[in-house]
Amino acid sequence: MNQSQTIFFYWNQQHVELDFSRPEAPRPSTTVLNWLRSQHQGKGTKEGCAEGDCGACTVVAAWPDENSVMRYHAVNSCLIFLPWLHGKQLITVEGLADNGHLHPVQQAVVDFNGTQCGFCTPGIVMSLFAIYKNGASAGREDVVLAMSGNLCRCTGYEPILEAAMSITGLPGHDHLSDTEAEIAAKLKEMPEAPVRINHQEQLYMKPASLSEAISLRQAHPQAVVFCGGTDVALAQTKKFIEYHELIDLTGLKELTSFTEDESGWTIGAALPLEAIHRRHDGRIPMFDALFRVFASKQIRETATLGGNLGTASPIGDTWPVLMALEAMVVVSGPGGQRTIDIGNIITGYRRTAILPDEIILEIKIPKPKTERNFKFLKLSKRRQMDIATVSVAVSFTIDSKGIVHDPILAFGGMSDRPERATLAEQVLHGHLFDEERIDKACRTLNDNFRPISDARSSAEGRTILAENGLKKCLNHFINPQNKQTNE
Amino acid sequence: MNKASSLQEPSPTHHDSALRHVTGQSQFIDDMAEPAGTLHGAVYFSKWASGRIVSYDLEKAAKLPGVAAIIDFTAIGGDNQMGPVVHDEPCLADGNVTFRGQAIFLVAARSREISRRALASIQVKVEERPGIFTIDKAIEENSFLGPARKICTGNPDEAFDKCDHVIYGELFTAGQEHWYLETQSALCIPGEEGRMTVYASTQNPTETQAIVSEVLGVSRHSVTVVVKRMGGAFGGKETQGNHVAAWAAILAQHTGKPIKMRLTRDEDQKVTGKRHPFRSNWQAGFTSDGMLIALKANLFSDGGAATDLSWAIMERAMFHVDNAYYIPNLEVNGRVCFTNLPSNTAFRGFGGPQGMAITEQVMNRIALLTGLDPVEVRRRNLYGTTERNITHYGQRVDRNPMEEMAVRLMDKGDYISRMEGVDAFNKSHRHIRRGLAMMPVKFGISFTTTFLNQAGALVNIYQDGSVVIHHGGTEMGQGLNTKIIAVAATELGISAKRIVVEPTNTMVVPNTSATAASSGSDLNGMAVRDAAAKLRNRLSTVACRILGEQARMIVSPADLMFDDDYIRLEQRPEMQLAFTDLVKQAYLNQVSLSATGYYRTPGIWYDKEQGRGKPFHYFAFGMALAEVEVDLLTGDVRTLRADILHDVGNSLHRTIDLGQIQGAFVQGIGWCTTEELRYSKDGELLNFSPDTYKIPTIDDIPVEFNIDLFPTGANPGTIHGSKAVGEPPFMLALSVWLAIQYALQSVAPEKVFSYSLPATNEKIVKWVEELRAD
Ligand SMILES: Cc1cc2nc3c(=O)[nH]c(=O)nc-3n(C[C@H](O)[C@H](O)[C@H](O)COP(=O)(O)OP(=O)(O)OC[C@H]3O[C@@H](n4cnc5c(N)ncnc54)[C@H](O)[C@@H]3O)c2cc1C
Ligand code: FES
Ligand code: FES
Repeated sequence: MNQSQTIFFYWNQQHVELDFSRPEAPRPSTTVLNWLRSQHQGKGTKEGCAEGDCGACTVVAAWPDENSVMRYHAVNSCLIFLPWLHGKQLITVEGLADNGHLHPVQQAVVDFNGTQCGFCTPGIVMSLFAIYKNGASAGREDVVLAMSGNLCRCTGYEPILEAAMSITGLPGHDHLSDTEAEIAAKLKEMPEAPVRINHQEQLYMKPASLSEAISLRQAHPQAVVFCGGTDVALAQTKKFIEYHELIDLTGLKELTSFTEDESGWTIGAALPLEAIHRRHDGRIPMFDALFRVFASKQIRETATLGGNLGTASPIGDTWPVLMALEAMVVVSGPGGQRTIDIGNIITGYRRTAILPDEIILEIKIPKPKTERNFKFLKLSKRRQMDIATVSVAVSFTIDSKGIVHDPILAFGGMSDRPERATLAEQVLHGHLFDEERIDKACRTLNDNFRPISDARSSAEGRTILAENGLKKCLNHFINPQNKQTNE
Repeated sequence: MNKASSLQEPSPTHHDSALRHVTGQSQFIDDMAEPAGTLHGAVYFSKWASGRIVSYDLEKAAKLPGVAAIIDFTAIGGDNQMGPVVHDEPCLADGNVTFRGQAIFLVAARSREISRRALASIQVKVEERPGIFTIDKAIEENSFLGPARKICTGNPDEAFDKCDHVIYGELFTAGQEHWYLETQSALCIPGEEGRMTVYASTQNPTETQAIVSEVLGVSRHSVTVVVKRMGGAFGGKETQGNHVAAWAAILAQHTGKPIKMRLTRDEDQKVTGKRHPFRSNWQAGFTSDGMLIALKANLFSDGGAATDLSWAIMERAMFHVDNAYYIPNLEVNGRVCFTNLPSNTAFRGFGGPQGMAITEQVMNRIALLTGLDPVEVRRRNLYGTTERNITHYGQRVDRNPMEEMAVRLMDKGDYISRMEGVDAFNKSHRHIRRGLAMMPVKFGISFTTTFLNQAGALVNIYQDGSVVIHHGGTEMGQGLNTKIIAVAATELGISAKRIVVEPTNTMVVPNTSATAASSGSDLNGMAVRDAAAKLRNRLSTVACRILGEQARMIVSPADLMFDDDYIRLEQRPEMQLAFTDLVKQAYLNQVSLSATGYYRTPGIWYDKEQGRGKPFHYFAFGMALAEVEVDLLTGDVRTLRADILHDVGNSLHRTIDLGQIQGAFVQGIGWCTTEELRYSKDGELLNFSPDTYKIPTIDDIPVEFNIDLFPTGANPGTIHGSKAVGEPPFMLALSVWLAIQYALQSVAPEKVFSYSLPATNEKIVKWVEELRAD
């Protein structure tokens, strides 16, 4: 086992070795943001919320992909622990200007007057930088999706949008390109990440293999495991919780695979959502719709399916979708692996059937055997970067006579857990698919759920939104020629 | 794309900090190098809305390793007060708490983490009392802050009898969290002789200085407040930036160590005041052709647990109930409610939006009942130019461009055909509806508290011809310094790159007013001009002599032209002198190159008792046309297009002005749509983090967003003929709220319905159900 306690990474053009065995080293679970802000040259990156919601802390992390091409990922440094940086290049706002001359994305923000108070600006610049480096010609909509995790209270965004549009579709060349190949090669040569860091009353474990992960899990039942850490880090940054034992599964090889065959897709629990988004290429039903409204680009670059299931929140967005897809979850523990139906995992408010010494390995999504209709809708106060007030995913088959079979109507936000509307499903099953049936099914939701009132909505609001959301999803499949007037 | 800017050469066409902002070099308080030994301050805030502190235990917290001090109000050396207008706000609770979020104890610790952990181990017992959390409850319990105010013109009661229609309505407009990106912060450094240097994020350094000196029990000359910039403020740091500064200063005095204090986002959202919620009821009388003859409006605002600026905010709401309309018989009554919530405070518009929303509601109702087009109703009621032009408080509306603006905007925005399009769309769609609405804004510029309309400046020229400006205003992103540089550059005839603006410092320019009421460049620009004019006069004397000798003629200052870094003879421009040479000569000739400037707005006054006066130096005008699409099933709203015409007089800086309009409008969309503050039934704020409090994202701006400055020419008696722009465009966003109403009303076109603000997704789907119910 690797005994070193040192992580290696690049910060802009500078090679950094952070040796946690030194007394003055920060605690391993120090966030990248807090570490940067403790550095003399790192105060450009700002903290606006410490919870992933504002993007002021956005930095870009780059590392070579399978094909050794450097990829640039905008992430929220406030929700990332230091060891994640190992083997990556961390690019911050200080690293963009070249020899006293602005980087093209900085220049665009200046030219279009995209900065006023300036507090959001470093984060905005870094999100733009990621867009710029990833080259692809992006339309207004892509830009909006890539920037919705960056709040600005001053400018009204219009100048930022204009700045963004002006730098999309460019080749992405800049002074960083000159050192790219060299840094990519150096990153590949870096030693393995340290497996155990024990510093400042914290045991930080980063297993190098699945078997190591499982045995560490067994040996440390108190440890908190995480896949992307967006939830786990939040508890530290907002509630000032002190973690004494952490098991970091980020990037673990066996947990970040993505495969597809005739039977379906298998997705590693620790594969970030954006990576899934890039890999599935529009093929998994509802996933594109899901990712469009799931948190922000920055969050999706680290957050995972495993973490969303592990959190087991009643408003977790992937739940209704995975329920409608009849996914299966593979978990592994000392007793070996087992596969659980998505519908049998949740047992109560944030409680699951996964045992404390088990970890989630992968999610299996079967390809439907018959032609099925799928639709996912998230109803939230704000279109982007919001948690669902109510979410709904539907899947069903309509036979040649127009009869509905085996509907699944899965809801988030309507109960203490993501849950299917079984009564409404019964109303649809075996009946002609028409507006009257749809209305009847929608009205039945009232008998299925007793939602609560909270910061997002009243119970009454949720009831109406759930009915309407279901109606909107189902209406979508009523004769397409009616669609015009239906919507 | 343009060539990349060099970091050494800022461009005058952009925000003066733009290059430093985009490279991360701009310093905010938390970015400053901490002096050795700096401790981190934290505040224990009340978890109880109302009650008596029975007992507490600080021992456990005090014993935590790394905790340096933990104190209560008895450790305060001076007055335990931080109310800016009325002394009704204890700095630390002195036995009683009156709102959740009231400061009780202060902690200083080695790190921010330790300070927060110390807070968690403090034990307090409070005997709770029932609290008041809503305006309705406050009215019921007769719980008010200060006296009732009234402004009246004509005789509404008599006029109602003569109107064709008399209608009644109610309106609730909710609060709004400022959500400046930089949370409240301060760094206090104790010095010799009890001195205190306060690096603060405050719009009002002089008041911060006053309050810090009062709580420390020292003279004001012992306290220096320095403000480099704020990471946004929007009114939220007009008075409430004082609090953190005062708490940090008390800890610094107590420990003798520098103290940095920065609220966490949750703390900031929980404990600071917000835009005032208003509940109002009104009675309106109008003719069948849509003329509003009489209006009576009773306004109640939620002031929270202390006065803060609530009176002035109520006053401004009352001044703006007319919005842009001549209402011959108008009575408006205002009352500020005391509730057990954090004291509500200034927020862009300062009561104006709340006042205007009422009349816009009335206009919509008139359109509904007369069947007239809503824009036609508004146009008929606009203030006139030669008659029908006196407001309810007696000020004449001068240079009113609103009818012209309306014509221009309707034309530019293709109002008539788009309205037909919207109606047709709504007929052919069941669940998706569109709405179009246009509204004017007239906004009075000046502090309504007359004496605040003054400002000071100090301009120094160095021997190399570089210039430094100090003024009393503060930079919060609005571009004040950029405008100030433009003013000084024009006055001295030099290029902007010779000029820097120093951080606002109470030791350099004393006794200033808050940078608020959109008045920052109006007041400080004039003060800077005054100082620059003095310097120019002194330099002119020297230049006259030198150029006179050169040209062998007698030269008087009127012959000189200061332009382009040169001083030339107007008649013989080849006779020239570089600014730098002139400065050097002036120095050698023992001419002072330092001058102070001062300005007070002339001719404004207001008699609160009579409700009469000329409280505003002038009015700023604007008009907006907004189109929205509403999904009746999901409550989702998208602003498809917004066209804005706005009047800034002769713009001091076009791009800065456009930026203010864009930013204010989008902030206004937030207030009208997604920004919702929900409270539990015992008054606990539920949306205290960005997780549940939703300001607009880039996806919430108008898909098509057209803004034009409306040329009204030079505004008389202001700096370079300009007009203030910070607040007025905020209210233009009410057009989005009105457009949503238009879309929803298509469900039940005849139905009289009470909307409120914000129109959240939840409210929209509920309204649709109610509109559909018979
Ligand atoms: C700003 C912000 C916005 C967000 N928006 C959304 C949103 O729109 N929709 C939504 O659904 N969620 C949202 N979330 C919540 C969160 O990002 C998601 O739940 C995400 O999927 C969690 O993934 P993760 O890998 O980061 O979780 P982690 O933090 O790694 O883990 C979450 C939980 O799961 C457990 N866990 C993780 N991995 C495993 C494993 N392999 N085996 C067993 N248990 C495991 C952890 O112990 C922890 O309790 C948001 C969060 C933030 C901070
Ligand atoms: S600080 Fe707000 S997202 Fe990280
Ligand atoms: S410029 Fe102030 S928040 Fe964006």
